[in-house]
Amino acid sequence: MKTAIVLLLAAAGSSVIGTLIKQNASPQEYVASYGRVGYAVIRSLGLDDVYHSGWYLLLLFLLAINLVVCSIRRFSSAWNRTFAPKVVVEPHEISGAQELEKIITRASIDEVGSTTCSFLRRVGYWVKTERTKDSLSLYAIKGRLGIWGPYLTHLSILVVFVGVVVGGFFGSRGLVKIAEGESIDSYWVGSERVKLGFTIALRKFSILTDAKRRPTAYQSHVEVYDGGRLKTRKIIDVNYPLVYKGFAFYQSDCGLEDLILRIKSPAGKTSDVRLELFALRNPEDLLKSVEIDGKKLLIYIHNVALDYVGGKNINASEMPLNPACDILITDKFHDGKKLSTWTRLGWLKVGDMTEYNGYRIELAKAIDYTILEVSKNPGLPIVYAGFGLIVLGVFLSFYVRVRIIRLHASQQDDKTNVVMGCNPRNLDEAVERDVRELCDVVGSLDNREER
Amino acid sequence: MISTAALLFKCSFWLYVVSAIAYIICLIRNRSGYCALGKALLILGLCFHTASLGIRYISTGHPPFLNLYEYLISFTWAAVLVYLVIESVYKTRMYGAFVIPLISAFAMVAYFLPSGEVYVMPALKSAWRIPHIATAILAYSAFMVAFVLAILYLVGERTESKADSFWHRRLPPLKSLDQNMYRVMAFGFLMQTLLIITGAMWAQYAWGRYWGWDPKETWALVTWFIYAAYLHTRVTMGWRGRRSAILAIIGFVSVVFTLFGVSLLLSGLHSYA
Repeated sequence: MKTAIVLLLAAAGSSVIGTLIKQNASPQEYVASYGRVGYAVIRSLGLDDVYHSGWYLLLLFLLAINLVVCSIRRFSSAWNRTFAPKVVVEPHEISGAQELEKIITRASIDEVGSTTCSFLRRVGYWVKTERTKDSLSLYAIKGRLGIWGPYLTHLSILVVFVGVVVGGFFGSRGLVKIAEGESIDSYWVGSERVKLGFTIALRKFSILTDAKRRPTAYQSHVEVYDGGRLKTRKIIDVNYPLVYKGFAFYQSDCGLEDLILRIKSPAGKTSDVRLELFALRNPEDLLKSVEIDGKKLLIYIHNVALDYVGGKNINASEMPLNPACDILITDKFHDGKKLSTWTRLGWLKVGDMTEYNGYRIELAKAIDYTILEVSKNPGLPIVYAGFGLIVLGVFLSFYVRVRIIRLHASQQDDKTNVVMGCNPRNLDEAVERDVRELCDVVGSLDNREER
Repeated sequence: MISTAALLFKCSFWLYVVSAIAYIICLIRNRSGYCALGKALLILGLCFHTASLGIRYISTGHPPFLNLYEYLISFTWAAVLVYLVIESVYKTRMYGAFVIPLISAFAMVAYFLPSGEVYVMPALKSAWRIPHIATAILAYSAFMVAFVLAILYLVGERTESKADSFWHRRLPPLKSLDQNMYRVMAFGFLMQTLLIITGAMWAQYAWGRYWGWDPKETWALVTWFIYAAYLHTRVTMGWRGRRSAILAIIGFVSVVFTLFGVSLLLSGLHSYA
C-alpha cells in the first residue's frame, strides 16, 4: 500500500517536470535555456520527452502492476464480505465492535432470529444466519456494492491502460491534404502512405467569420465514396469530426491551393489560367504563359494575399478568408525580360475584373485546401469504457455506504443473551440508528409476552 | 450591456470584501450580530453577482465559461452559493471568516482582468464545454472548502489542549472538521474525475486525441494523483487529522497552480483559458 502511495506521488512529481521543461523542443532551445551541461543532463534522463521516456512508462507500468497485486490480495476479503461472510462469531468478537448493544430476553433463540431477520430484511439488509444447538450468529450487510467501488475504480484504470496499449499498437495517426474538387484514398503517417480503403472528396471548404472577421468555423464539406458509391456527406468542423469505418477525420489546418485567372480575349474567347500556389517550388513557377486567339500572354504572380482587406491592411489573417493577387502581365512575349513591357494590374480579389489591351481579366475563383487529421484508434471504446467504470467506481466508493451488523444470541437458562454491534470501520449515523432500532425490536419481544 | 455586467460584478466584489470584514469581526469579537451583517451583505453581493452573470450570459449569448475572467466570475459565484448552503446545513457561521476572504481574493483576480467580450474560437464551440467547466467549478469549490477546513484543523490542533483559548471556543470539534473535510474532498475527487474525463472526451472530439500531456491536462492529473494519495492514506493506512490536512493543502496548491500558474506561466492548448 505504501508502495502505491509512493508511486502515485512519484508519478505526480515526474508529470510536473514534464510541464516545467518544454517538451520536444530543438537541442538549440535547450542549450539556450539550460546550457550545454544542462542539456546533456536533460537529454540523458529523457526530460525533453518525459511522457514517452522509458522510466516514466516504467513508473506507469509499476502503478498498473501495483493495482493488480493489491486487487488480487484484497479480492478474497471483499468476496467473502459480500457473498460468503464468516457468520459465526463469538460474543466477545462482536464486543470489539462499536455501538454495542446487549439484551437479555425471555424470547427463544429462534424467535429472536426470525424477528431480527425479518426486521433487517425489511430495512434492506442482506442477512445470513447460522444456528448451532444453543446459539445463533447473524451477519447482515447493506450497500454491498460499495465494497466493490474501489475494485471497480482500480480495475477501470487498468481498462484504460489496456485501451491505451491497444490504441498504441493497432491505431495510427496521420494527416491528409485535400484541395477543393479533389479526392484522396490514402493518408500520410510521417513519410509513409497508408491506404484508407475508401475515398474522400472535398466539395467545398469555407471559413465562417463573425462581424469582426474573426473565424467562427472551419468547414470541410466532404463526401465519402466506398466501392464507387456515395456513402455519406458531412461537414467536418472543429469539434465535429467525420467517423467512417473506424477512421476519424478532424479539421486540422487549411490554406490556399490555387487561384484561377479567367482571361477573355477581344474576340470573346475565354481561357482559364491556374496559378498553383501550394505547389509553388521554384521562382520560375511564378511565370505563366497562356495562348488565346493565337496570341501569347505572359503572366507573373507578383504578390498573393490570403486575407486582402482594403489597400493597406493586406494580410489581416493567415487564413484564406479573402484571397487576392497582384499580377503583372505582358503580351510582348519576346520582350518579357524587359521590365518596361510589363503592366501591373494591381490587386484583384475573387470576382474582381480589369482590362488589359482589350483582354478582360478576372480572378474567377480561389481553390482552398483542407488538412484533416486522420486517426484510427481501436483502443478508444476500451478507454471510454474505462472512463465510465471509473466514474461508477468512484461513485460507489463514496456514496454507497457499506453497513454491516452482527448479532449473536445464546441460551442461558430460560433466557436468551443477545449481543449486537456494527462494524466500526463503516460507522455512520444510519447504521447506529439501525442497531438501536434492532435493539428496540428485540426488546419488544418481552413486552409482547407480558401482554 | 457587458460593461453593466462588469460594473455589477465590481459592486458584488466590494460587498464580498465588506462581508468578509464583518465575518472576521464576528469571529474575533464572537458577536453573532456581525455574522448576520456579513451574511446579509453576502446575499446582497450574490444578487448583484447573479444579475451580472445573467446580463453577461444574455448579451454574449453563451454561458460565462470561456476565459479566465469568465471562469472566475462563475467560480466565485458558485463558491458563494456553496458557502451559503454549508452555512445553513452545518449551522456554523465561523467558516465565513475564512471562506469569504478567500473567495474575495479569487474575485479580486477577476476584478483586474479585462472583462470585454470574448471571441469564441471554433475549438471552444462544443457541447462538452458545459459539463467540463461545470465539473471544474464544482471540483475546485469543493477543494477550496476542504483547504479551509484543513487550515482550521491545523489551527485547532495546536490549541486543542488550551480549553479556553481563542480558537478552542470558536472552532468546531476536530473530529467533525476531519469528517467534513473527507466528505467535501470525496465529492471534489468525484468531480475532478469527471472533469478529467469530460476534458479527455472533448479533446478526442476536437483534436482527435483524448490525452496529449498538455500542461493543463497534466496538472489536472497531478491534482488527481494527490487527492488519490489522500484517499488511500486515509482508507487503507488510517491517516487522519494533521497528515490528511497537510495533503489537502498540497492538493489545493496544485489546484491553484492548475488554474493560474498553467494559464499564466506555461504555454499549451489551454492558453485561452
